[in-house]
Amino acid sequence: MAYRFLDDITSADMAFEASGKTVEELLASSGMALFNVQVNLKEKQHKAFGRNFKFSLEAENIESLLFKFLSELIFIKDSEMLLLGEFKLDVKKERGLFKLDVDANGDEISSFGDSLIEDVKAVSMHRFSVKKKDDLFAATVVLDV
Amino acid sequence: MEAKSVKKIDEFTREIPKSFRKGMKVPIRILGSKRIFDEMDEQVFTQAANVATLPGIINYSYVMPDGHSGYGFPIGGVAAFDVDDGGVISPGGIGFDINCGVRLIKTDLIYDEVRDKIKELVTGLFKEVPSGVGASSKYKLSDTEFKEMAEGGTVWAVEKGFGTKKDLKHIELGGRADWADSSKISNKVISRGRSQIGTLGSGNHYLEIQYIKKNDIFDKKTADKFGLFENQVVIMFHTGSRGGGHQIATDYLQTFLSSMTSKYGIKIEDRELACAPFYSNDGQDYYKAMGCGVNISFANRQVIASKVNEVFSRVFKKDPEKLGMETVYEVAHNRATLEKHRLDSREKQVLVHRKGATASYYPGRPEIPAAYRKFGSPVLIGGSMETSSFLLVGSEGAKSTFCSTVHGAGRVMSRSQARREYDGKVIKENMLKRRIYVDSASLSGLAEEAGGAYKQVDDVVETVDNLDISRKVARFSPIGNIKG
Repeated sequence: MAYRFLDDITSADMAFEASGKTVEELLASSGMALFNVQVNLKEKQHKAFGRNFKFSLEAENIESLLFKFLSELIFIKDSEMLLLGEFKLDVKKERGLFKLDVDANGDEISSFGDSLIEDVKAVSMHRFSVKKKDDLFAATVVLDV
Repeated sequence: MEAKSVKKIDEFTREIPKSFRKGMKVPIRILGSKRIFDEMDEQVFTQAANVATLPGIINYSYVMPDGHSGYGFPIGGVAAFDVDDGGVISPGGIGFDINCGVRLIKTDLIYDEVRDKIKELVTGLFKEVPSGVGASSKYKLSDTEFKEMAEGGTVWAVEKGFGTKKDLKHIELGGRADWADSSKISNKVISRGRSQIGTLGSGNHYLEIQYIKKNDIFDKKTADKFGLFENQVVIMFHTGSRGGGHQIATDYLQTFLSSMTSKYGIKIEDRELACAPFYSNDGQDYYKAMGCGVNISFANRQVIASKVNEVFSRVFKKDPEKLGMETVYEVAHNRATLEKHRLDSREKQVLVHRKGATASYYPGRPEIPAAYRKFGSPVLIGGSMETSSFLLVGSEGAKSTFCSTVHGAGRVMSRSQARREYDGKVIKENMLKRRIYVDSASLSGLAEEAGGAYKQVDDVVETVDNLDISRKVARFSPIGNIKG
C-alpha cells in the first residue's frame, strides 16, 4: 500500500497521492489514505478489525471507479457508522464497464475513540486524477474535511 | 503573483485583469491589505481565475480577505451570475457543506457569573451536542420526517419543539429555503443524514462560550439594538448540513459532470466547477436540492441551539428565557442565493455564490429582518479557537461586492503541517492557562485548528471595516470551547 499526504494542494482540506501496480492496489491504497485522514492509529495500539462489509460498484473508467469507491466509503461511514480500513478488492472489465467487488474490514466509529481525527465530507473533483506511468497507477485526490 | 499582473485599486483592493488567463470573462478582485495579499497562496489566484471563466459571471471573480485555496472556488470566493443570460449554478461555488454557518446566542449573564461554571457548561454541551467523526444524534428521522425537515428547515425544528418561533425572526431567509424540493434528493442523502440532526461535525466546526471584554464594543448604538453589552456572555457555534448536505453536493457534481458539456456545451478549467445554466432542468433540480441542504443546516443549528439553552438552563437552574437567551442572528457562508442588485442603473436578479463568504446586506435591503433593517444585516465572523470572533454589520461599501464579506480568519497552514507543528494536548493546557476551557473529540483535530494555523482575524475584519463593506460592532473572546 502506498500513499502520501500532500501539503501544497489545499490548506483547508486534505489531499493525498496514492499508487499501485494494479487497479486493485491503487484503490486499496486510496482507501487506506482516506481511512488515515480520519483515524490516527499511531495514537493507540490497533487491534484487529471486528466488522466486515461487502459492496459492489461499476464505472465506465478507472478514474470514475476510484471516485465512486471513495465516495461509497464516506457514505458507509455516515450511514452504517463504519470506518473501513482493510480491503480485498476484485476488478473485472465486462462489456466496457469496470466492475468492482469490495470485501472490507473495519470497525464502528465509536470503537476508535480518541484516535479519530477528521470527518471527511466528500471527494472533490479538484485535481482529481488517475494516471498510469511505467506500469504504476497513480492517483491524486483532494478530500473535503 | 507577479507584480505586473496586479493593479492596485486602493489600499485594500487589488485587481488581476482578464488577460491574466485565457477564457476569463471578468477580472479578479482581491480584497485585503498588502500583507494579506502577499500571504495568499498562488492556488487562490488560479482558482479565482477558473471562476472568472464561468458562463454568465458578472463584474468580478471576488476573493475576500480571508481567502485561501480550496477546491473549485477558492475559500472566500464570491461570484454573481446573470441567470437571465445563461448564468450558471455550480456546487463547487457553494461547497459540499451547504449553508454551513454560524449562530450567535446572547444571554443576560455576565462573565463573573459564568467563570466558575465554565467546566460544567462545556462538559454539559460536549455531552448534549455530539461532535467529531461520524457524530450521530439521539434523533433518528424516518424517510418522511427527513423530507419534511429538508423542506421545513428551522420552521420544522420549531414545530418539533426545538426552540421558539422568536428564533425564526433572527435567521437568514427566516430559517427556511422555500424553494427546496425533497423529491430532488436521493435516498443516499436521507441514509447519510437521518441520524445527524443536532450534531456539530469536525474540522473547523466549534461551539464556543464567549464574552465581550471591556472596550470591545465598537458601535454602541448597533450593539444596543442587538442586545449586546460589555462583560456579557454569549454563545457562538459553527456547523452545517452534515452528511445529508455533503451527499447532495456529491450527487449533483456527478450529474453536472456528465451533462455539462454534452447538453450545455460548457467547458471548465477545474471539474469541481461543474455547473449548469440556472434555468436548465439540471440547474433547477440542483437549486431545489441545494435548498434541502440549506434547510438541513438550518434545522441542525436550531436543534443545537435548543440543546445550548437546555444546558445553560440546567446549570443555572433557570428557564432560558429568564437567562435572557435569545438568538441574535444566524448567517451562512456556503450558499448560492437569488438576489436583486443594481447593475448599470437597473435592477437585476442574479445568483450570488458565496463559498466561505458571508452576506453583508447594507441598511434597507429586503433580506434583513425588519427589526434590524435600518442597521444592516448582522455578520458573524469566527476567529480561530484561540482568538476573538466578531459581530459586524452590513454597510454601504457592500454594494461593490454583491453584498458579500469575510467568513472567518482563513487558514495559512495546511492541516497536516499544523498537526506536525502543534500538539493538541499542549494547546489544551496553554488555553486553560489563559482561562479558556476546551473539550475536543480529538486532540489531533485540536492541533489542526491551532491559532497559528490561521490568519489574524483582526486583520481580516479591519479590511472589510476599512472598505465599509461591514462595520465592526463587537468582539467576543473565548472562555469555553468544544471542537468537533
